[in-house]
Amino acid sequence: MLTITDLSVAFPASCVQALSEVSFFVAPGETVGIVGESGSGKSMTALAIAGLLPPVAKASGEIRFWGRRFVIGVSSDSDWRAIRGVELGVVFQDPSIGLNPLLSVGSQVSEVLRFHLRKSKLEAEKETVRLFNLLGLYPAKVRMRQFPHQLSGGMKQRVMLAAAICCRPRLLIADEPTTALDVSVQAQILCLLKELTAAADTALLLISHDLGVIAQLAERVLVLCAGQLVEEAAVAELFSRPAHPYTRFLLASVPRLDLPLALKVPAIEDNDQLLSGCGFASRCPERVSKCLSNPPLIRLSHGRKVRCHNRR
Amino acid sequence: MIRILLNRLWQTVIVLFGVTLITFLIMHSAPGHPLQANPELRLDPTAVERWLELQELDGPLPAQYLSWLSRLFRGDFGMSLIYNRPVLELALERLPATLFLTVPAFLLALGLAISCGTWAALRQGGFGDRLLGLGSLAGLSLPSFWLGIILMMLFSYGYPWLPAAGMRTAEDSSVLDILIHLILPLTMLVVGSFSYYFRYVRYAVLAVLSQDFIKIARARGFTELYIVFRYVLPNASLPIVTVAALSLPLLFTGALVAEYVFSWPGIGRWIISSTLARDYPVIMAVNLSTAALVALSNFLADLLYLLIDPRLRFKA
Amino acid sequence: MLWSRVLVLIAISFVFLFINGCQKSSEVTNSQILHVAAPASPITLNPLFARDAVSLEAAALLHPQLLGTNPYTLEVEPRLFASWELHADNLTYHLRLREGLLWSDGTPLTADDVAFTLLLICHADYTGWLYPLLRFVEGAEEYRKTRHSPYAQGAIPGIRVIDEQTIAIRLKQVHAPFLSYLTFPPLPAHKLQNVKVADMEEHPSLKNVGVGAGPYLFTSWRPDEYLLVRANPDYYLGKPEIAEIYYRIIPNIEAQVIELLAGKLDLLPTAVKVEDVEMLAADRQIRIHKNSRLVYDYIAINHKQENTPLKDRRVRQALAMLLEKDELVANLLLGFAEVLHGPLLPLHFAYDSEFSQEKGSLPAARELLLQAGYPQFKLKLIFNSGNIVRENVALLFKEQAAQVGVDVQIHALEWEAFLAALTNGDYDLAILGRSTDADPDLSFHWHSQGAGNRTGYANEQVDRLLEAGAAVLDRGKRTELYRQSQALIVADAPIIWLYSRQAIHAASADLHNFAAHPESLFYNVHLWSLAGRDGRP
Repeated sequence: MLTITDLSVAFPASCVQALSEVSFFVAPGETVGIVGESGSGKSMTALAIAGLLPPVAKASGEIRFWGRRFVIGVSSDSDWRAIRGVELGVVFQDPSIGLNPLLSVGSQVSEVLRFHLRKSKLEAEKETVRLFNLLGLYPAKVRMRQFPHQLSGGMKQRVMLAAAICCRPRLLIADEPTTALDVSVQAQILCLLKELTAAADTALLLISHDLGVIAQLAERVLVLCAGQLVEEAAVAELFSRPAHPYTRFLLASVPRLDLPLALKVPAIEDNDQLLSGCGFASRCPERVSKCLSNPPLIRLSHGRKVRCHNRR
Repeated sequence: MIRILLNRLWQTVIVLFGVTLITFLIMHSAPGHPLQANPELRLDPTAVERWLELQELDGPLPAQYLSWLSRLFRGDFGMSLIYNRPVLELALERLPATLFLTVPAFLLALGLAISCGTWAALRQGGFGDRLLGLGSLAGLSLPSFWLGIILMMLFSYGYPWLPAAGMRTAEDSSVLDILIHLILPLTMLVVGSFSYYFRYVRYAVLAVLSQDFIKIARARGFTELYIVFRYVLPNASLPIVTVAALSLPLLFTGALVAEYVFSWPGIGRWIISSTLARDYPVIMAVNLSTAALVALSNFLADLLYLLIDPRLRFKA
Repeated sequence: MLWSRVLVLIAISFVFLFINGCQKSSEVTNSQILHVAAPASPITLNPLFARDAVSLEAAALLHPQLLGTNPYTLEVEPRLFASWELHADNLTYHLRLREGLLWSDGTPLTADDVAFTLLLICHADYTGWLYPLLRFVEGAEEYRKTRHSPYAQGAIPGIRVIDEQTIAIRLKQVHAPFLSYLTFPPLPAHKLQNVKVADMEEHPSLKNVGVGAGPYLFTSWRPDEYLLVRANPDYYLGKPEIAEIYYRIIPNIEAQVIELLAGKLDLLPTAVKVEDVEMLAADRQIRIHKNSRLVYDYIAINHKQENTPLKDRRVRQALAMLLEKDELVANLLLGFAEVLHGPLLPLHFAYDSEFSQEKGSLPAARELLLQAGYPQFKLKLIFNSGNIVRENVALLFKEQAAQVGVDVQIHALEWEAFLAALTNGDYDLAILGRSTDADPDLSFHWHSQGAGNRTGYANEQVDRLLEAGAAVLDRGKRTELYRQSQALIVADAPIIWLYSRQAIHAASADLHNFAAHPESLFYNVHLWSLAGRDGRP
C-alpha cells in the first residue's frame, strides 16, 4: 500500500544528512513501528510521507501510496493535498501547540469533515459528536464547544486523533503520539490507537523512541540510526534476537528493574565521519575497520533486513 | 468578561479626568493670548482689554476649571478665540473633509498591508517579499512632507494630470471631481501608513506560520488559502488590531501634513493654524478629544481582543 | 410592494439630482469665474472686526468703502460718499452719500447706516481696531467710557444725521488726516441694530444671508476651503464684469504656484516670492504685476536694557550706516522693493526723495563707535525663522558689523519664541515689519503718546512738530513739518530702516484691468475682466 524507495533528506545549510536512501513499505491494515534516537530521522520520514518537508530541505526519493506516485522534490503541494487528511492522517507529538487556539475543538474536527467530505454543518457536527464519544471525550456536546486551552493534554491528543481519523484514512502516521503525555494517559491513547486502527482497518505508522510503545502496538519494526535504516524485523524477532548492535544498544538502554543501570552509554560524537560509513560506527562496541565504509542492507530470512558488516 | 470591560471603562474615565486637569493647567500656565504683542498687527490696546473681558480669560483658576469642566459635560467645548464661534461647530464643519480623506486611506492602507504582508510572509525570502520589504522601508524613512511635494511635482507640475490643492474645482463639483482631488493626498497617506502596517502584518504572520498548528493544518489537507483565512489571519490579528487601534484617533484629528501640503480643508490644518495662533480653547478641545479617542480606541481594541481570542475571554 | 416603489422613487430622484448637478456645473462656464488664491481662510467676513489680511481682503469684496484713497497719490477720493465739505471752523465735515445706494436686499443705504456704524465702532464692547481713528470725534471718548447699553444705541454729540444722504461729523480738534480714516465700510443698520455689539462679529446677517453693498455678494463659504462670491448687479459703480470669484484657500505656496501654472488659478495676489518671479514670467500665460505698499521692514533697536551701548545715539547711528541697502534690495529682493532711509514712504505726499542717510561707510561708522567709547562689543540679533529674506539681511548685517568690531550673534527664532523675546525685551536688535497709514502723519509710531509707539521713542521736538502737522490742513505746510520730524527722528537713529517691499502678484494673461491698491487688492475689481478666455475650449 505504502512503498517508500530511496528516501533521502539533507539540509545543506547545516550539513546534516537527515535520511539517506531509506526504503520500506507498509501493508494495508498493518502497524509498523519506527524507532531510533532523537535526530535519527524518524520525524523526517513522517513529514516526507505527508509531503511536509520544510522548504530548505533537499530531498529525493519516491513514494507510492495506493497507486499514486509521488516523487519528492517534484510532486507539487496540490498532489499531496489529494491524500492528506483524507487517505493519510497524521498525529504529531505535542498536542498543546497543535490546535488552533482561536477555534473550538469541535469545529476543528468538523471542519476537516466539511472540507474533505463536503458534509453540511449539521452532519459534520453529528459525526464529530460520534467521534468524540468514541474517543472518550465526554460529554461530547460540551467538549466540542470548548477551546484548546480548556482541555488537558490527553484530551487534546484525543481531539487531534479525531481530526486525523475522521475521514477514515488508509494510513495513520502517529509521530511520538504519547511522548508529551502523562504515563497513565499514554496507555489510554495507545489503546485508542490500537482499537481505532483495528476497527477501521487503517494501517498505522507508529513513530516512537520508546521501545515499550513499539512493542505494544507494532507488528513490524524499522530501526533508524543517523538517517539510515539499520534493521527491519517482525516485532517479536527484533526484541528476542536483535541483529544490529544499535538495536541491541537501544534495547539495553531501556531501564529495567532487574538489571543495574550500568550500561555504558556512548554519547554521539563528532558527526563528520558519519557521512560515510555506518552511522553507528563511532559508538559501536563491536566496530571493526570495515565499518568506516557503508555496509549494505542485507536481507535475512522472514523478511528481516540488517545493515551491518559484523552481523552475528 | 463584563467585569474586565467595566474595569477598563473605569480606568478610562479616571485617565480622561486626569487629562482634563493637565490640559487645563498647561494651557493656563502658557503665556500670552492670541492678540498679544504681535508687532505686525495693528491693534487698539483698549479694545484688546475689552476683548479679554468678553472672552472670560480672567478670574481665579479653580473656578475657571470647574466652569470649563461643567461646560464640557454639557458638550460645550468653548468658543474659539480667533473665530469667535463654538469650537465644536468649527470642528464639525471640517470633520467630513477629514473623514473623507482619512477613512479611505486607513482602510486602503490596512487592506493592502494585510494582503501584501501575508503574501510576503508566505513567500518569506522570495523576490516579492524582499521588494516589498525594501519598499516599505523606503516608505517609512521618507518624510511624508517630502513625499507629498514629490507627488505634487510629478503629477501636478511635471505631468499636470492631478490638482495640487483643495478638494473641488467649483462649488458644485461632482463626486468624481472630489475623487480626483483625493488621489494625491490619499496616495501620500497610504504610502506612509501602508509601510508601517505592512511590517507589522508580515511579522505577525511569520510568527503564526512558525506555529505547529499550521503544519498540522497542512497535514489535514487544507488548501493554503483556507489555512490563511482560518488559521493564519485570525491568529495574526491581535498585533494588527493593536496597531490599527493606535491609528484610529488620527482618523479624526486628521492628517496634519497631508492636509497642509495638499490644502485639504480638514481638521488637521485647522489644528495647525489654531496652535500657531494660540487659540487655547481649540488646543484644549483637540487635546481632550484626542485623549478620549485614544482611550476609546484602546477600549475598542480590548473589546476586539476578547472577541477574537477565547483564551482572554475565559480568563476572568 | 410599497417598499420597492419607494426605493424606485428614491433612485429616480437621485438620478435627477445627479443630472441636475451636472447641468449646473456646465451653466457657469469657466470664462466667467476668477480663481484667486488665499494663503489662509478668512476668519470673519465682518469688515469692522477683521484683523488679518485675508479677512480684510474678503470683506473688501463684499463691502464698499465710505471713502477711498487714490492708489498712486493716496489722496482721499469719493466712494460711497460722493462729496464732502469742511466748514469754516475746520472741525465740521458734511459728507454726502451718492443717490440711490441700495443694500443687496433692496433696502436703501442711508446716512443712518453710517451713523449706526460710527456708533458701533465707538461702543465699549467693540473689539475691532478702528476706534482710535474716531477718537477725535466730539463725544466719542465719553460714549466709549459709558456702557449704557449692550446695543449700538444712544448718541455721540459730534455725529449728526442731516438727511437721508448727509451726515455731519464734528471733531473736537483740527485733525488733518481724519478723512483718510473713513475708508471702512458701513454695516446695515436695519439688520444689526437689534444685535448686541458683543455678538456682532459672527452675526449671520453678514455671512449666510449676506447683506452687503460691495461689488460682489456672498454665495457660499466653506471654511478652510473656499469663498464663493457673485457679481452684485446693483453695485453703485456698475455690475462687475466677472460673474463669480472663487477664492481658494491654499496655505501651501508651492501648490499655489503649481495650480497657477496648471491654469487652475487665475491670480496669486500679493505674496509671490521674488525667487519665483522669473520662472512665472517665463510662462506666456502668466503676467507679473507689482505695486508699492504701505509697509516696511526695519531693525528694531532695544535701548531699554541696562548698560547697553545702544543707549548711545552715536552707536545707533553707526549701526544704521552698516548696510548697503541699494545692493541689498538689488540682490536679495531682486529690485522688488524701495530702499528706505526714514519713516516716510514713497507713496506719502510728504516723501522726500532727496532725503537719505549718510552713505554706508564703514570708516565713518568705526569713527563714531570710537568716539562713543565702544571699540568692541557684542549684540544679539533676532528674527523669525523661515523668513529667508530676513535671514539674509541678518547675515549681511553680521558680516558688516564684524568689520567695525561689533560681534553680532544671530538667533533665528520660531514665531512664538520670537514674540516672547520681543515682549520680554530679550534682544538687542530684531528684524521686524510694520504697516503705516495712508496719511503721512507719523504720530502712531513716533509721537511719545502714539498708540503704536512700542519702542518708547520720545522727542519733545518731534512731538510738537507732529501735533502741528495734524493740526494744519495745508498740504505744503504739512509736508514741511513731516520732513522736519523725519530728519529729527532719523538723527536719533531709533531703528534701522531697511526697505519697503512691493506686492508681487502673478495673474493669468487673460485677466485684464487688474490693478491693486497699496491697501486693497480688490479696489477696482468691478473693472476686471477675463476677456481672452471665451475662445478657449
